[in-house]
Amino acid sequence: MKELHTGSDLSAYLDGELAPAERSRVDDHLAACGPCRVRLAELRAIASLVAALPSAQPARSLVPRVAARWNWLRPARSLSAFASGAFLFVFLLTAVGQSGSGLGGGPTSPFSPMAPAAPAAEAQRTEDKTTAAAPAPQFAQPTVTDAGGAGVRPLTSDEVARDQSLRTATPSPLTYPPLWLALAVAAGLAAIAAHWRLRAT
Amino acid sequence: MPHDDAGAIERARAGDGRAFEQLARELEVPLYRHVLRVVGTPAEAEDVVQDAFISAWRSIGSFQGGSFRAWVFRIATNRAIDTIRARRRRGEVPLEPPEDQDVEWAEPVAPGPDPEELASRREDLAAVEEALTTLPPEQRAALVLRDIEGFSYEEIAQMTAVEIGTVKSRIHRGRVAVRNVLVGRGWRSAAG
Repeated sequence: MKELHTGSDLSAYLDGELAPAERSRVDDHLAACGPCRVRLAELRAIASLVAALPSAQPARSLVPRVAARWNWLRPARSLSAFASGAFLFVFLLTAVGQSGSGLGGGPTSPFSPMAPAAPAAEAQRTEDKTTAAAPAPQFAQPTVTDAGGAGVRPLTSDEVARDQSLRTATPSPLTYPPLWLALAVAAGLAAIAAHWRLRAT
Repeated sequence: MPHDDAGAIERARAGDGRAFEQLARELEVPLYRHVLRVVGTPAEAEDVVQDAFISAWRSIGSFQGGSFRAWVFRIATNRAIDTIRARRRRGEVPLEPPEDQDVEWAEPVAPGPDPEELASRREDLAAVEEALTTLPPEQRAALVLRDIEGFSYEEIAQMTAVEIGTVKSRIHRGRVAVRNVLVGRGWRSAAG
């Protein structure tokens, strides 16, 4: 029975995959054939060795995130990252804007001559208009011409208030740079946290 | 062999992603170790397993019942074999030998240890591991699916889309080939 000596029925016999009639035939043969008994023992040993091989582990999780609870985390991460960038941009805008108007009172700032000069120029134009409109009775005009050559004359209360708001630099909350920086950092941290959670095994 | 969680399978089929993830976590390691033996490299094995899980989730509605584990293994094995076929077209992997070719049993070259002792030796397991890499991928896949993962011939036939006779032949040839490699290293069979 050359077929059985080398054939695949021995493996199938070992694995219990033979039909009863075939199994019985192999049983009979094994009882009479020493070499086949040896072959069977070897096949059994090999099968045991293969079964005992160490199991490889993946280096990372291979399970995809398909559950609904994860579906919001991805867009949240993207949104946070984008928001962080946007907040950072506004922070830079407000910081530059603040540095410009905040130096309104300084002597070396390029802007400083403009601040007092602008309201004065505007007042000058107003003065000219009112002078042109009603030239005759001087006592009816509230304006005062400047006596000296300094080019500065007393301002109205509105002009003083406006000038002060530009000089002293008291910003509204929306133009407060640290606010935007804090928002940028918070959004950035939220994006990083979402990223870590998505990457967690 | 662990039995499938019937409740989780039903929930997964109904679209419960969390249930599917739970099932996938239980299959992750067996699937990876099987695919790794078929394709050979960890990076490729990771990709194949991940793709298989995603494919299984997308087609969960077509799972008809039976062994969920066998179903996922089938998807993964198909992808692994596709990877091998692509390599074969590039000439990197040899063709599988024809089924009707006789199986050769190598003669022992020298007296060696008994097989009972071998099972406890780490170096011989390493020799078996190395011998597996010399097998054609189809034989290796069938042998690993049988001896490590415990699938039946019928299940393996469905998984690899071949006849049961082919599965039987592949498993037998794979075992004999591994045996021949060990014999070449001095392994000696038990006295008959």
